[in-house]
Amino acid sequence: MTKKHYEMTTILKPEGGPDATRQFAERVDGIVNEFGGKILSLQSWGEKKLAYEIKKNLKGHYLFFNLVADGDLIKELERNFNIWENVLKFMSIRVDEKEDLDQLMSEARGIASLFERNEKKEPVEEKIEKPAEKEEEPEKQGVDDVRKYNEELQKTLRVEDDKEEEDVEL
Amino acid sequence: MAFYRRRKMCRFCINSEQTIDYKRPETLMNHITERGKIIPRRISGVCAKHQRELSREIKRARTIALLPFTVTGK
Repeated sequence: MTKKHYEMTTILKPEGGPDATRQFAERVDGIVNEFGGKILSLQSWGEKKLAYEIKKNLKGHYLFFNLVADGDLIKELERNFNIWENVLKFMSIRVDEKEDLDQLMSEARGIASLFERNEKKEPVEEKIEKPAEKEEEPEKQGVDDVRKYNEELQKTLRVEDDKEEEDVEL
Repeated sequence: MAFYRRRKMCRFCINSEQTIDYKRPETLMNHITERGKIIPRRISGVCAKHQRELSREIKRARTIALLPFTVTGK
């Protein structure tokens, strides 16, 4: 089977702590290696509030894998995720962008990249949580733009709501 | 009955730095209502191409609980 680039997001139960996370990462790595895939990078998004309850949990620990794999490997991983109790939910997405897989493979950092994160924790979290505020001056304007845009949107939304009954499609 | 409505411009076409990505629910959040429904492009003025991307990414974000499927009063 041909190999492709996948992104895999998993949500773990928050109770486990760092040890459980590490153990989970190692188990995944084991399966990936067994099937001849490769983990390119692994990120922790930390504990986040879930938008809705999953198996009675309101919070979850997000782990984000970048990997090169084939269909069988993804199937096997998902089969395992369904069995492991500390996995609340997962989603794998194929990355369609044209990339050089060999180059990706050679730059692979494996699950070690999870632990690298601890040293440079700040930039990683900033990047994910507030992309709008990350860069300096020009980006600030972007934030304003976004706010203005939203206000306008809300306004039009209200107007459209009022009108909707009278003239539906203009 | 003179109705004049300014043609709204697609925000993603104007600003190419704005990425539509399920990993960044902040941008997507602007395109759902308080109840969690996707805002139609007839209202937001987003072009068809970007609306397709938005809808795909919002649905992805929903599956991993970054965005709600629905917001109820509880």
